[in-house]
Amino acid sequence: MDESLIIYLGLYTVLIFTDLLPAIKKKDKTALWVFIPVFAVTLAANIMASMGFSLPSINDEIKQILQTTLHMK
Amino acid sequence: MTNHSITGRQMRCILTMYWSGSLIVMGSYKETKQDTWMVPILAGILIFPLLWIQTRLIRIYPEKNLFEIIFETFGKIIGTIYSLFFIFFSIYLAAVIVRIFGEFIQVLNMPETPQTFTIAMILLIAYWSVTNGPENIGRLSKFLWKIIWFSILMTFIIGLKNMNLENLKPVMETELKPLLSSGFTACMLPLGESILCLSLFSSVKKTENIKKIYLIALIEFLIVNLAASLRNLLILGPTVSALYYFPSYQAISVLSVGDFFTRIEVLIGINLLIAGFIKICVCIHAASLGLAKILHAPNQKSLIAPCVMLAITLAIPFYKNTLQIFDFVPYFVIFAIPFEIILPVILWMTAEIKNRIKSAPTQTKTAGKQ
Repeated sequence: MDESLIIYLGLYTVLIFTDLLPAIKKKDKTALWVFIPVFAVTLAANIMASMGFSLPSINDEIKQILQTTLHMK
Repeated sequence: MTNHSITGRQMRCILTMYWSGSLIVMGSYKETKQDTWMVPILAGILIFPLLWIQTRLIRIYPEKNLFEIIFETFGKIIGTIYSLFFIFFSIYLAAVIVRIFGEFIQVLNMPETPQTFTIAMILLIAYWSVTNGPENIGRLSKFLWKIIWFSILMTFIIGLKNMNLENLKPVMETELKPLLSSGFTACMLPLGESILCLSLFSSVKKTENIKKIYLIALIEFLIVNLAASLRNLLILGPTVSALYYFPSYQAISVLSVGDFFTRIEVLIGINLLIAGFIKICVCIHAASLGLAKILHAPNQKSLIAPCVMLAITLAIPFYKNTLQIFDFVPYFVIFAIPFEIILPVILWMTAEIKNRIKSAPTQTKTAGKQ
């Protein structure tokens, strides 16, 4: 665990106050349907990353796909 | 979504800033050596058909954004799938840019500050800018573009005494293949990405000359890019320039005016950062607009935060070090082809056919009356 965790928590707290709470107040269902799952998944992923778990990189996947399909070196 | 809040001039600045946002990774083309200055010119020529397609799409569907055009052209189901590709590309691009800036700031300016902090701060400010609407991005671009012009011009003038024209010789010695390959990379890396800027054109007045906006923006960007390439080459020389990942930064670091005006390289860092910031804003705006269109949300603003959260989560594990950023460039060029060439070309062809079919009965009717 490092300072990244505090940074993530700080950022997510700001987003809760500026986005999530107004959406709940307005009963904006569409926004909540997107916000809550994205919020939960990304927060979990970021906490895991700050605890030292290595998250898969999209770029590595893209690189691998292109290397196997187009034989790029 | 027709709110005429962006003027033609602001849109021009947005486009130029958007393209300049990738200058940070465009700096060094090791294969082209002393002919690197030709790369932006080649890229400018290669991009013409794609920019023409974009202007044509705006002409067919005036005052509509990218996602409205997609839905009008393909209908609901295919339109949703098509939009998802562009939403993914927007978030991906925002994440890539913010991650590169995180790396850039850590390597050159703030080695002790965690990248997470830099990335989070940039994205948070981008979130607020996008929340304030496209007109805010337009105003910001118009103001910040002047700073970029001024600093490029200033560093070029200050650097004149350190420039050696011999660094450009022998001219045209590079073979055509690496030159074209670098030109194509430069064409795909910042220029082709402008398809996402279509998301802002719904806010531009119908009376504005779209072709003129694109053309002047392209010329301005090419002048800045050419000036930066020439400055780096003339100051550092092709061999030394190829050694660095950020040659602009290194070229400026040797400049000074007497003893009182030194460390000008900070200017270049600020330049690249503000241009990249506008690019991140445009990407986040495009992604949230696309999400709003798919989900039939009345307001796009409530969907900006999820895009920011996705961008930050994707950004962190992208690269392990600076080397990987530049190693991935050839892969990015191939990966971007569907988003920057194939999908826009299919969209334009379908829109053109639909437009012809639509206008055909009216033409027959008028001919019949005559």
